[in-house]
Amino acid sequence: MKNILSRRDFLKASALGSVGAAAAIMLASCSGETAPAQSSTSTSNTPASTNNNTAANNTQSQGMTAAEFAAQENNEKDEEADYSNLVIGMSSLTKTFSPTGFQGDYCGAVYQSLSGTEGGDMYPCMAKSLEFTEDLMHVNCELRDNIYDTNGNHITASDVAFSYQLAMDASLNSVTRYFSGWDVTGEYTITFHLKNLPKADGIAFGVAVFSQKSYEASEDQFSTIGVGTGPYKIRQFVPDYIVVLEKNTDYWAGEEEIAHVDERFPGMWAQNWDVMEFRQIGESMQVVIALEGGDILFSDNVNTEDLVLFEEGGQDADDFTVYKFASGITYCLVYNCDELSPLHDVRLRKAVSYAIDQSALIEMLFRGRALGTSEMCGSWLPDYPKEWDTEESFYRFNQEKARELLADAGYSEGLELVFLTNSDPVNANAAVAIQSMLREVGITVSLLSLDMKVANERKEADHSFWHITTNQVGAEDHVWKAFTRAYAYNERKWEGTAGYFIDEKLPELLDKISAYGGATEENVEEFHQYVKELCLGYGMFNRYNSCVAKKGLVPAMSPTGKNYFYNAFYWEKV
Amino acid sequence: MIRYIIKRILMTMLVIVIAAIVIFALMNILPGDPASSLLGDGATYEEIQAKKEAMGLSGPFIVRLGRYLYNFFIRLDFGRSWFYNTSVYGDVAERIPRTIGISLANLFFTVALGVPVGVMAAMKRGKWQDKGVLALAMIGMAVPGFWVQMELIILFSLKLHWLPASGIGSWKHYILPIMGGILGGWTGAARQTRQSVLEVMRADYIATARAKGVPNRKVIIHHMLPNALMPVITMVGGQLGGIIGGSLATERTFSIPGVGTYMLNGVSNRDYPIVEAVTILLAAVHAISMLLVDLAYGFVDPRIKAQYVSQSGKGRRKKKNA
Repeated sequence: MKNILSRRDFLKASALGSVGAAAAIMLASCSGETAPAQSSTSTSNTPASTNNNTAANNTQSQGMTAAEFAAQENNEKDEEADYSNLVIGMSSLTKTFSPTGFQGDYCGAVYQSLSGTEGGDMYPCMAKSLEFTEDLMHVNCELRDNIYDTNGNHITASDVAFSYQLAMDASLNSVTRYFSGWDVTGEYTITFHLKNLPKADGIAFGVAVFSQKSYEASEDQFSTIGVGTGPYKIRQFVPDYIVVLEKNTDYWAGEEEIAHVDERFPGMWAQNWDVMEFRQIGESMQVVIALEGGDILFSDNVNTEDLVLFEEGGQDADDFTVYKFASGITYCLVYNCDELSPLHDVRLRKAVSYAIDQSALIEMLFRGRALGTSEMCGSWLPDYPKEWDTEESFYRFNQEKARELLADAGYSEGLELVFLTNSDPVNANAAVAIQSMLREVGITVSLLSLDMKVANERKEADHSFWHITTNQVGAEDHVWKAFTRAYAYNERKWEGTAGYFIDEKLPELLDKISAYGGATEENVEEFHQYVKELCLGYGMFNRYNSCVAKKGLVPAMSPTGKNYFYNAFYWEKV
Repeated sequence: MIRYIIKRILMTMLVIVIAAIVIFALMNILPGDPASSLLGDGATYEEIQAKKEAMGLSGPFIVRLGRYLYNFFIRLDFGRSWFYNTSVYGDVAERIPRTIGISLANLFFTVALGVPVGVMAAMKRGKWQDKGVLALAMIGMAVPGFWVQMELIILFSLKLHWLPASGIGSWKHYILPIMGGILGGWTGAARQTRQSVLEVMRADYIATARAKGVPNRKVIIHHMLPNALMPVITMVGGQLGGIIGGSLATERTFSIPGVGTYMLNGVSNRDYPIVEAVTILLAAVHAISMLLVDLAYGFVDPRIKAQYVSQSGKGRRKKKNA
């Protein structure tokens, strides 16, 4: 007897056995993970009540500072804990430490600026004082006289001028937008000349100030090892891999200077840690492994699907805390108001808005981990009136109303629109979801995905190839700024708003709220009511940025919650 | 044969230069203005022109092409990254050892493991050894490589704490990336080798050698393997060509700052110097690997070697003199 099975039978059995073995291995490797507690889903149409993240095991914090966290949680800093090495996992690192090109909150521990880093807040930090002249077209700055960089070079007004000139040459928006020039008037005094009258929030003096001598001595213009005046200096920098900062033991700022800065930006100049290490970990799975393995203590690069492991009920919930902060980026829709577009008719724009179920959108895209809004700005902003989220007149999900408006505009048989999107996953997924929502009311949407740069060039040349598109509005810290980004006429290469809308009243109202002292509640409300009636777009959501921290590690953030102050992270006293 | 080799080397160099010209031309006809992108929407026309001048984007195309080719091939100056503001040559030189190290180690162990296993499977055709190898090969080819890598990380880093999960720093950081590549790659080499050995086994000269009483080991090594290796050499040549660009998934999974991620960032940022330099390098590596494969054919198969010699003109001269 040669074979028990025929060759054909054996091959069949082998194939089935192999597939079964592979499936068994995959199932075995996935075992051991507990299902998290289900979060409740809000079905309300009011964005403010889309507050359904009960899965979080810590209070949602929308722009709360470290001080507010500490007060709420009754946290006290454990001075005796180990502060030797803070290791953070990040999705991407700065490409360069050049003062005109760095990106990343940790760079604020290396470089400092004349004032704070939040928008146009003129709270002096490196500067001893920053004062407008009477005509508001010049700012007199007096620099502190005791500032040294990590090479031991003394910082004077000439270094400030050099730093700003470098930023001007690099066409940094933060300089070219505000300043026409400056004059050094003394060893520690410099006068800045403004291009235009200041806006409502004053002037941002956020340019990194450094020593001209150190810069000129650097072989690559600080690209790899930048020399700043901050509480930390660069020990190691490998692009796309790691940034290691060590405490500046010769830090120039004393208790008085640090206390002054702490009044407005608590923790910005702290030196809690001996060494801070920032590792680039691109894959969320790798971040999870690094957190679970103890290789990193904190990360804000854990995606939505993996967060459940760390939230209440998750397998790692006992060892970690999840903090949530609303992102400063508001995702919006923009409607093409050009004469060539059907959405030139305001009834159709309102119909589209009524057809969108914002709560369902947030649930679909982020499992509820986003904050809805009723404007082209984040509802988490400190000056966002909560009444906007409960107004009757806003376009809350109402399919019946949408159909009525379509019929009124003569499109009862249906309407065809083109939705211009791009490869950004949020935009792309939102487009697909909105496509299905609009189909429910008789609007057929075809999706067109283009690279953003290519799309902008095409939009300039052709006003008719798209009808709806997505836009992302970053708003720093005030509602009026978001309005400027969303509605200003001179922000693009064509006349009008992002959707080609032009009239006389809109820019007048915008100038009113953005003028120095003009961002009053009444003016902002007037603007809001006007644009709401025009329905030029639809504010969708701000996604939550969730960060995962080792249990006991308390993060510190800037007052608006936009920037992390990693150097101020601390261990809470148990 | 020497003449043939020189001729092929010259042709390869020409191919690389042509590839460089094509790549440079393609980058220049892409839509979008890099200077405007870098400066942002608020930049004035004068600022954009000044930036273009600084970036070397102004001037006639031919002049810029000539300057680029001269700098690239003669001075080995690949330009400066627009985003990192560092020398592209320096960046590539720093990263390439990591990428090549992983890729070469993968290739070496894949061949060292896959070829003997494939030969063994062919020799034991129909028996449990052959069936086992086939089953493993099927699983190996069905399972995605990145999944294998993740499972290795979970086992060796998370559970056992034997090896680091990501990054660089010591030789230990490279074990998991290499293991992941081997586990997925050897099955293909084994299958390919098994198939080609089976075909050769049926040849008349093998039967003749056996009939003459040549020991089995000698039949395999001296007669069977050289003829069965041709498809394997082709497969290895293809993998050799991907030695730089093929490791992107591994670099991303293990957060290794290699040439793959460097290239990807360059593409995302529209950093032309990086994209041009790395693409030309990729083309060069492919061209060189094809040259090596062709030369390996000649080394393994005397018939092909004779063909090369006759192509180079030496054979014709001999015939003339006879």
